[in-house]
Amino acid sequence: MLDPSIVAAIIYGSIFGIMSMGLTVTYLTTKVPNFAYGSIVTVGIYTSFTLTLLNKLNPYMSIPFAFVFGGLASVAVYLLVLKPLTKRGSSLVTLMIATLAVDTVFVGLINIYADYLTFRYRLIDDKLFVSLQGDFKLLGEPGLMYTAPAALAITTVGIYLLLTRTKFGISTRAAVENANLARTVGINVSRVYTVSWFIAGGLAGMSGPFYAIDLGGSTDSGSLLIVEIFSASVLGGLSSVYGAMIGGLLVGLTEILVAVVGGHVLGSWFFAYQKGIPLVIMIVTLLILPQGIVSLDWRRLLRWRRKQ
Amino acid sequence: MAGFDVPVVPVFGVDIVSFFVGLGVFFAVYLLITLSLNLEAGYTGIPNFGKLLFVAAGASFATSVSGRLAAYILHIGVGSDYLINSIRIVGQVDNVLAANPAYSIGLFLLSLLIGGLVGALFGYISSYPALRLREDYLGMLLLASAQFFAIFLAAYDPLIGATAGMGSPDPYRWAGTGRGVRDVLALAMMLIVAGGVYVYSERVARSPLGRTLRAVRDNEIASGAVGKDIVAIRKKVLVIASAIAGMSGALWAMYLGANIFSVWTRFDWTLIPWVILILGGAGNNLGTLVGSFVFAFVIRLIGQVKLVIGDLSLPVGFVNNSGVYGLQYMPVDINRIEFLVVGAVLIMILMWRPDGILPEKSTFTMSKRKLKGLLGLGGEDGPPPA
Repeated sequence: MLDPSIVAAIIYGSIFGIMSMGLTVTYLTTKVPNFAYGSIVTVGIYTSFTLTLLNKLNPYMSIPFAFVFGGLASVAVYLLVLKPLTKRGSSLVTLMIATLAVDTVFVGLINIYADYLTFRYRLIDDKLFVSLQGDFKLLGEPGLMYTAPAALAITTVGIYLLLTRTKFGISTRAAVENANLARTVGINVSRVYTVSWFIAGGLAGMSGPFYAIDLGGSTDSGSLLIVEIFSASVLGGLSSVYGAMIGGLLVGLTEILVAVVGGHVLGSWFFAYQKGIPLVIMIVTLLILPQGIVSLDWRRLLRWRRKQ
Repeated sequence: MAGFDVPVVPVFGVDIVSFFVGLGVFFAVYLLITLSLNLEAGYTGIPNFGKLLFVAAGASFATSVSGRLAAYILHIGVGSDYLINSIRIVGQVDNVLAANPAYSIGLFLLSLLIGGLVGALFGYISSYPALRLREDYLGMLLLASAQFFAIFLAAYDPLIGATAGMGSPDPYRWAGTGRGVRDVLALAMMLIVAGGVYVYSERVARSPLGRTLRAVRDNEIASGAVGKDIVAIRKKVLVIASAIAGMSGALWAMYLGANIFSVWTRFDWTLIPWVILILGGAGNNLGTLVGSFVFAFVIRLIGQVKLVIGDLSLPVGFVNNSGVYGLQYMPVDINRIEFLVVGAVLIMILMWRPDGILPEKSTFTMSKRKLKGLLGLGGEDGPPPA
C-alpha cells in the first residue's frame, strides 16, 4: 500500500494537469488570462453534485455531463463577452477585467443555483459539501488513484491526436500561430476558437467531478483554485498544452508533498499555508524561467552536466 | 456634547440621515482606493489586480500595531496574551480615548501613518515584478499574491487574530455618546483625508509629472527615448498609490472598530475599485469621484432594499418550529444578487461605454492664446507674426 500522502499528491497533480491544459488552450487562442476559468470548474463540480445527490448517479457517470456543461459555459463566455470586446478593439487589460467580472457573475449564478437547490430539495449543505461518495476501491487504494491519472493520460493523448491527426487540429494550430494568415487560406478562425473554447471549458468541467470526489466543493472553490491553475500554466509556459500538463502535474504534486513534509518537519501550522506553495512556484518561475519548462534546453543542460 | 443625538429624518420609513452617513463613509473609502488605482492603472498603465493586498495589509498592520502601541503607552495591562484579551484591552483603550480628544487624534494619525507605510512597503516590493512583467503575467501574480495574503490573514493569528478577529481602537468616540454622533465624526475625518488625496491626485495629474505618466502609459519606448526614467516613475507611482490604499484600509478598520480576515475579499477590494474606475472613466480624477458616488449610492440603495426584503425571507437553511423553511417566500438569498448585478454592470459598461461617465480629457496645458504668443503666432504677450 502506498503512503496516503503520495496517493493524494498523484490525484491532485492529475486533476491540475487537466485543469491547466484547458486554461492554456483559452490563453493560446485569445491571449487573455481567463480569470473566469476557475468558475467553469465550479460548474463541473455542481453538475456532478446535482446528478449524484438528486439522480443517485455514480459521480463518475456525471463526467460527460460536466464536460458538456463546462464547455457550454465556456463557449458562452467567449461568444457573449470576449469575442464582442475583441471586435471592439478592447485592450488586454479591459479583457482581463471582463473575465474577472464574468467570474463574479458565475459565482453569483452558482450561489443562486445552490439557493434554488436549498429551496426546492431542502438541502442544507449545498454551498459547501464534503467529498462525493461512490468511489470504488482497488488493491486498497481509492479509485481516483487510477482514474485521475488515466483521465489525464487520455486527455493528453486525445489532444495530441486532435491537434496532429485531424484537419480541425491543423487549422487550430494555424489559427493560433497566425490568425490573419489562417484567414487568408480560408480557415474560419472564429469557429476554430469557439470549438477550442468548448474543449477548454469541457476540460475544466470534467475536472470538476474528480475534484468533488477528491475534496468536495463549494460555490467559490473554482474561483479560489484559479490561482493554482494559473501557476501551473505559468510553470508550463502558457505556450504549450503539453507543458501545461506537466506544469499542472508538478504543481499539484509539489503542493501536497511539500505541505506534508513541511508539516512533519515544522509542525502542523504549516498546513494552513499550503496554498502559498503554488504562489511561490509562480514567482520562482517568473523570475528564473519566464517562458516555463517548455523553454528549458535539455540538451544544453545535459552538456553542462557532463562538463562539470 | 454627551446628550446630543443625531436627528432621525424618516423618509418612506428609512432614516435618511444614517443612510447618507453610511453612504458617505462608503464613498470616502472607495474614493481613496479608486484614486490610487486611477494613479496606477488610469494614468501610468500598471493594471493592479491585487488591490486587496495593499488595502488589507494597511488595515491589518494598522489595527494590530496601533492597538498594541496604545495599550503600551497608556499602561494598560496586556495580561498573558494580547490576542485573547484584545477585546477587553481595546475596550479600555477606547475608554481612555473617549475622554481625551488629543490622544484620539494622535491615534488616528498613527494608524494612518502605519497603514500608509505598510502600503508603501508592499508597493515597493511589488514594483520589482511590475517593472519586469507583461500586463497579463503581472495581473496573475498580483491576484495570486492578494489571495495568498487573505489566506495568511485567516491563518496567522498574531496579525489580526485569524478567525477570532481583533478589536481596532476607536478614535472617534470623543465626539460624544449620543446616537450616531461617532459615525458623523468618522465620516468627517474620512472625507477630510479623501479630499486631501483628491487634491493631491488632481495636482499630480495637472503637473508635468502627470503628463509624463500618461506618456509612459501611451508609449513606453518613445518616453524612454526622450529621457524619461520609466523604472523610477513606475516605482514611484506604485509606492505612492499603495500608500494611499494602505491608508484607506486603516480608515476602514478604524470605522469598523474591529478587523477580521473575512472582510478582505477579492470582490470587495479588487473588483469594486475596478468597477468604479471604469464606471467613472479611467485617467480622470473627477470621473473617479463621480463613479465612487454613483456606486456608493446604488450599493446603499440595494442595501436598504435588502433590509426590506430580508424581513420577508428567513435566513437560508433556517427551520423554525412550525416547519417553515428558510427561503420559503423567496427562492434566492438576496445577497447573491449583488454579485450578479456588479459583474453584469461591469461587462455592460465595457461593451457599450468603455470610457465611462466622464471620459479622459486631453492633457492640461497652457491656454492656446498663451502658446500662440510663445510660438510667435500672435497671442496675448508674444511678438506679432512677422
